[in-house]
Amino acid sequence: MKKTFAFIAAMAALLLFAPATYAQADSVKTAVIKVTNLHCNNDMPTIKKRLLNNDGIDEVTYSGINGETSVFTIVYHTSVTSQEQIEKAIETTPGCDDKNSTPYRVRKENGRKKKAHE
Amino acid sequence: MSRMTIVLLLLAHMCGAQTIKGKLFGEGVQGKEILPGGMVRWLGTDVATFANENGVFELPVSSIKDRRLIASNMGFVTDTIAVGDRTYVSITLRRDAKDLGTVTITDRSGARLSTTSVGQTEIINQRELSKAACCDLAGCFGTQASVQPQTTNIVTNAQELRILGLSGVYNQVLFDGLPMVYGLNYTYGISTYPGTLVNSIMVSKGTTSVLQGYESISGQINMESRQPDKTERLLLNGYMNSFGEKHANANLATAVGRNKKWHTMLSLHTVQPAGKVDGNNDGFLDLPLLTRYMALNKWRYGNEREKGLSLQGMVRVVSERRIGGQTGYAPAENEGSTSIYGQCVHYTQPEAYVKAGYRLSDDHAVSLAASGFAQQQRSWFGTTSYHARQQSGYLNLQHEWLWREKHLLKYGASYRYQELNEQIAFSDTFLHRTYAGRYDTRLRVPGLFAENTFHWKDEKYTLITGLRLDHHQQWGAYLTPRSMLKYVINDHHTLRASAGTGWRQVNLFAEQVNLLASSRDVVFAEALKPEQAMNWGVSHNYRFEAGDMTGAVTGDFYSTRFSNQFFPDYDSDPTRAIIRNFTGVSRSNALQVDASLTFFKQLEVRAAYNYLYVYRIENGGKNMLPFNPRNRAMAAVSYTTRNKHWQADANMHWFDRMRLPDTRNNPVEYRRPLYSVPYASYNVQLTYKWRTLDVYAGCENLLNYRQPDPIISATNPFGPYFDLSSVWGPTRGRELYVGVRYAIK
Repeated sequence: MKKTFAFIAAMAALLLFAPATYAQADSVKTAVIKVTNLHCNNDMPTIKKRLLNNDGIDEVTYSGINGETSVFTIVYHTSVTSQEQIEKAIETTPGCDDKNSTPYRVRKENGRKKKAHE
Repeated sequence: MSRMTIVLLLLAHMCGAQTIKGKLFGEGVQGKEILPGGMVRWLGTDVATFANENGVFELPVSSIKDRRLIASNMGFVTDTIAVGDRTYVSITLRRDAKDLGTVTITDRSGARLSTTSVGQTEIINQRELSKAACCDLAGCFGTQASVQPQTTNIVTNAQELRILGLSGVYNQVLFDGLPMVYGLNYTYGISTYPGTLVNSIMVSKGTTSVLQGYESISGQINMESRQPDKTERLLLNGYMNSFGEKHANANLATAVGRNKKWHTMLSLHTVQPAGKVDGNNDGFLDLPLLTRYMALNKWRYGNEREKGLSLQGMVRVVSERRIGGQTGYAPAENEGSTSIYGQCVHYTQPEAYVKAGYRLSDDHAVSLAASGFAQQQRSWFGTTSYHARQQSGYLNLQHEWLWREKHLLKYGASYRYQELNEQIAFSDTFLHRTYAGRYDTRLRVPGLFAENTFHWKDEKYTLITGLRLDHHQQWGAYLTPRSMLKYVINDHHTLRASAGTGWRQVNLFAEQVNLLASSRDVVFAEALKPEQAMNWGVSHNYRFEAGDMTGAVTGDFYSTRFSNQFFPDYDSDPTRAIIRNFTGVSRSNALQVDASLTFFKQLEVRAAYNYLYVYRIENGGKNMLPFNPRNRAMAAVSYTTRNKHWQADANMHWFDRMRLPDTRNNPVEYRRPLYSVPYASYNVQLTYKWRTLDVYAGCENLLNYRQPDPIISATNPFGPYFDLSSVWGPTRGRELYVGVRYAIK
């Protein structure tokens, strides 16, 4: 019971104070990146693993595969990394079946849509 | 998350305090990897947290005066990090010393030098093996320069692997880290491991560890077979060359048991003979008719680096028949014939090993390894019949202890057993050979060994010192000290040095099959003592990166001095081979420079140069060891298209002139020049990959270069001048091949 209370309290505190905590020189941003040229279900975890092995990336989630494409949502620190660096990391990820290839590509949307997510 | 952490976090947020965020990494084999569950704590406080599943951690900053973090994780060295006024901190922990020295092989990059091993170790992995047909182990060294395959018997196509210009008997060939290729298995053993069984090959030059025994003098070739828990579930391979030789391989791997903790692999291999080919019309087959069957079953349980029990076992059976000689030779009718010359080797060899390990804690582990093989061989070399039998065993018990965090001590006891019986008889009377009879070569060698690995100055220096004491049943105690040092100057430069001794017992006829094929009489002047030598070497490795290009340049020099050596003395008497110990000066000095470059991960270029100066001082004169070119060069190019569907490979080997056996005592028509002519051989291969299907086709010896008249007195094989020992170049001409590989992961 005590544990549950502590947990709820912690969650509430996190929700309430989270914005204040992040209001430093460093800011946390969310990037939404469409990745194409995916062929198997292992591609997304491969990319996720690669991204998480980079500094400044807190969280990586992805949508199911849809016509060789998946949408990645990446939470990152602007003082450590940038969307460009993240995109580069995706494009240099070795393929999950052929480790010698770098098959994944970021689909560049027109500026408007990209901005809307930032 | 523990409750303590939650409360602390809660407090921090309530006060509106700042937090520090960051990420925790561990040094991995392929760069850093996140360490979920690793602990981060403010120095001198209880304020701590664990990295989440993404390796991310967050700690409150308020009330912290000493802004230093302590980060720890099992298997890694605990580290203290001064944070300063940063709000985001990245921490990378170094791997613990006990995990060093074990190199995990990936198939990402090509042949490379291991950066973690202390001795100079070159790793040939599957990517590298895919650049040539690699039908058997001897064919796996086409794109590197450290190991030189050399044909020892042109009729049966027996090959040895030379390192530092010294005969294959002076390097130790290991299978999964255990000695399996020696004695009766030496001459044909290396060919019985198909390329599809090999996961990687580690080549160490010069002095190596004492843990695997006293035998290696010029180096070690360790062939790691595929691991049942990591390899493809199914692998099929077929190959055929323009001579008509066919190879077929199949590997099958699966997990078994209720918890899928056991893994097993079944590997099958067969070679079916080529047609009868005699390209140079000397009446002799260019390549023997080879029939081989091999079945291997490997088992694995657990992981030796985790606590508890781990087991690994293997059973293998090989049966092989090689028929060579004059084209009309049929072994059933012509065995021992004095009218039609042929050689026929037929043997069956079962073998097995078991490795059991028990890790008591992070600091202690014990392991037991046992291996053995038995071979039964029936052979005919012209009019010489050779029936041989060998039983061999190896037992090794070892305790591994990590002490004072910086030292890893391995010590234990070993036992070597060998019973080799060789029965020699002659079916002719005109060659006047007198050495018919039975020869027994035994080995009963108990030994004690200890080896310490010391890391200091943040792994900048690593020193391995090892010592073993073995007792030979006849020649007494032998002390074998060995030492290796690695100095990492910086990210780009690494220096290595090694020195040590080694010794080995001669298995006369099993290792010198040419004696049996020779028309000379064999005369025993004295009992053969074990051969003994000292080796030292230095190497420098430089690696660099520039944009999309990576490269490495390695230079090394090794020197070997024998204090006792054996080689048949062919020079004292032209009709005899005299067997005696040689205690005079016998040295090998070997220099190698090796450079490799990779552009955009697509184009790989490699070039190497070897300088070999191998000589003996006999009767006051310096004699160069036959078949060692003073200069040798190798170049290899590999190109992969961007979509990875096509791969093209080409390599070139150039050999300077070599000293050849002295034939000046023969009548003019049976003489050969004292030196060979320089020549180059070119090989190409094209591979098409589509998902898990690979189709490859290639050509060896593209320019169809042949040594003229390799067999002396080929027209009179029963005459006194018949000689097979003057082979220095390709004898079989151009070879085209196609193959296919199919895998299910």
